[in-house]
Amino acid sequence: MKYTIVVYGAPFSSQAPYSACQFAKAVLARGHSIYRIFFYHDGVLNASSLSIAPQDDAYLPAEWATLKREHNLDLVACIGASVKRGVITPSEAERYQRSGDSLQSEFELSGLGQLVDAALYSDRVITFGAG
Amino acid sequence: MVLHIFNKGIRHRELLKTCAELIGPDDSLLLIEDGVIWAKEHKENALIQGLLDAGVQVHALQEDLTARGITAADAIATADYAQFVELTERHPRSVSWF
Repeated sequence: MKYTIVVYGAPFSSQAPYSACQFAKAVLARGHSIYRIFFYHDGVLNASSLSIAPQDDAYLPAEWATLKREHNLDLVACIGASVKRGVITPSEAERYQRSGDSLQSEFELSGLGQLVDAALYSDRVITFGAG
Repeated sequence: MVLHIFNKGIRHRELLKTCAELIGPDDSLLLIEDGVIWAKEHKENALIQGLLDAGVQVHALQEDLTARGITAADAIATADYAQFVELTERHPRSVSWF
């Protein structure tokens, strides 16, 4: 089956991204595919390239990146939620005249249409809520 | 056949109440994260007991129980992440309460 996973929580303040990551690994281990992982609200902070974990602490942005490389996953952060929280691409940085960009290269910014598309084309949509 | 995923702790009784009111007899409830506190046997869990009495399957994620030092009541089935996925296979739709 095709799964889509929606993540609402930020690393370090919510368990949602950890749970979602463990769930994603279990989905793949059971032979399913993942159509998309959509990061929404504070969940977009998983896509930041600027956060730094204390040594020996689990670091979810890196875990997502590894999962992406191993399984060629589609990691999408909501562009509206991301820009508000300072997660921006080089082109957004230029448009809003910011000094740097902050989106991990394994992620992309896109609109809510990508969540609607995922709901239409996936067999299952599982949400990991926060807040 | 809806899988209700509940991740909120003891301060969110009203949310669990709303969730419990909307659970149908063919639905299942999965407690995860802080929600596993509701799997414990205690005087506050009449809502969960009501669901069990109505024949609803109630599950709790083992990893989250272990992390919090909670032992689930006998009537509640524990699940690992593989069994969590299996629950989503069996239930075509899911609702996450948070």
